[in-house]
Amino acid sequence: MSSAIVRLAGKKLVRNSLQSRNLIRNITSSAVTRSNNDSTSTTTTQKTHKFSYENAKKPISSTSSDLFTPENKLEFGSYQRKSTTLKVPDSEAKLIPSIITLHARLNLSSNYEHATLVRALTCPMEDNTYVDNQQMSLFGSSLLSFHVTEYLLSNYPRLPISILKNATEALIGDYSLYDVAKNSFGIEEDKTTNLEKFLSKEPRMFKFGKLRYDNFTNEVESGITKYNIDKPTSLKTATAYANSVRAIIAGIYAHDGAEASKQFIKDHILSRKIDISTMFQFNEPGKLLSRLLKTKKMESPVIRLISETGRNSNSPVFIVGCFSGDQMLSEGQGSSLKEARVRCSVNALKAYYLYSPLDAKLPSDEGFNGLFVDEGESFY
Amino acid sequence: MQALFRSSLRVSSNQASKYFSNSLSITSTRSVVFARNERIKGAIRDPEVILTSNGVRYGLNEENIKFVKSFLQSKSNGKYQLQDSLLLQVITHKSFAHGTQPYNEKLAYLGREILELIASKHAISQETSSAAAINNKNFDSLGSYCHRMITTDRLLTDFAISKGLSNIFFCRVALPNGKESPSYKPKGIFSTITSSLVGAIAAQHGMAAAEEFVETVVFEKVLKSVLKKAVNVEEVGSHK
Repeated sequence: MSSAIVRLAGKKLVRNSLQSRNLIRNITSSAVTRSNNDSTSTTTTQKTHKFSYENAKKPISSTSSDLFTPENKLEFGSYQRKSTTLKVPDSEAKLIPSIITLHARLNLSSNYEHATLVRALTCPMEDNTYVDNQQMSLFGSSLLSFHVTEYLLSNYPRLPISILKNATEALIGDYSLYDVAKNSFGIEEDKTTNLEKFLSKEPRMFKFGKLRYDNFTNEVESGITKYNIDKPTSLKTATAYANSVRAIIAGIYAHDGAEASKQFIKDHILSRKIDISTMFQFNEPGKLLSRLLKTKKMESPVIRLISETGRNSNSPVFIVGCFSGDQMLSEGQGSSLKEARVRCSVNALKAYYLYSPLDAKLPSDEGFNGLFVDEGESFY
Repeated sequence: MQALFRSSLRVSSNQASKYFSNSLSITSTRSVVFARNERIKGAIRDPEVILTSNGVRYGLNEENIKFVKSFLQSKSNGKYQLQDSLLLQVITHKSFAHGTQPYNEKLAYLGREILELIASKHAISQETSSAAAINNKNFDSLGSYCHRMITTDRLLTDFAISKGLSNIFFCRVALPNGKESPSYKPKGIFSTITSSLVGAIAAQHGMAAAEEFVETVVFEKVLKSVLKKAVNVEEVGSHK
């Protein structure tokens, strides 16, 4: 797969005209900024599909002394965290203004306890004795990951697996969920010190209405010496926010059941627009297209000029079509013949990979009747 | 050139000559030579070699899919039966024949997600008296050693082997000496049989059927192995 999805040779496309140069620069620069800012959509940075807390450095296992394990290891109901014993009662959680607003803003049902929201906003911290969201976010993440995968597989059955993983990451990766938590759910983090809280006469309970976590500091300002203050529980800001979203979704599953959590994911996560077509980068689109047609037992592609204007001017436009036998696969335009040809092949490949069935039903839907099963990427 | 003659070669189409009545014209076509044994630089390998895995020729026939098919037929009166072509796809790995045949990668990906979700659902839906439980659902066991072990490649491979699903499996396991060995079963490759079977059932019959299949058929065996392995780990740990 890695051989198939590679860089679009933007530089080589450009011929003489200034206009085309600007056009290409816009395309490539937008792709670059996207990959820099948003780690969710790159093909290079994310090689394996793992969530941040599942990496090798922080293995979560029962060997940690924190977990009480019953005699029969399969009695999962009897497992118990030792350190987190305290719980904010629901009656007190109902008095916290930010929890009440969050509950109302997310349109949660009356079954959903306010105390669960408090728990969802509490990340594991050193010396914290209140129940936290660690395991809830694990459950929320598998729930999210399943629903997003089945959505992508039903709607884009031919996506190559690396693009599928990137699209999943773009929907439910740490940075996307950080955006959901901060800008859509309006979750705030608890940044004030105890002294500031005392001086502003803030009731003690109000801190539970905010996201609390041990911040993982990577860089410090110049002139400040960094002591190793990172704890095993330290989280990056994006991860902490994302975990709160995952935990809230797990809470919906616990209180209202699978159907409600599915609807919530559909409303808040799957409704977000991601541009899958920009995740493709083809190095040699023409070659790839002829290989693809060969494996599909179709005639090899022929590029034909459809129309052109201003061949001898400084801003010519060529429109070419890609044909396999009598069928036109795609159309491409450009200010040189070569550019138009490359665009045309890219369009044909994208039309194939981004095929989407009409009214695709998901496997977890009522009245589901079979999925379009892709045969996989043929290499040669 | 000598190396070329030493190995057994097969010549498929040679110079084809055509004679016409009025004038003699010879059309020569290119010779294609397939190399069977040693790799010879520049020679094309015989496709028959590539389409054979552990002595079994690839193809959609009853003989190839009999193990998977009879296994599904024996469960719940054949409720989970699948199309023959889908069954063949389930037992074909990406590594086989350079990925030119329909393979199970995406089914395995979907199946893996389903297995992980159902393992978590199974863990939190157990009876509990924990004070930290939310609406009688205790999340505390998630991420524990036993919970994580349920969906490991090792146990999914064990499941596929014990049910005989891996008897005919089209894949190419490259051992260092370039040979194939029927006893070498890398878990990363063989676990895709189980996960893609789950994925295929979900793709054909829906999530409810897949969930039932996992709970009643897969977990029945896998949870027992988890228990066995967990005990072993403890014994090893106590010796340290």
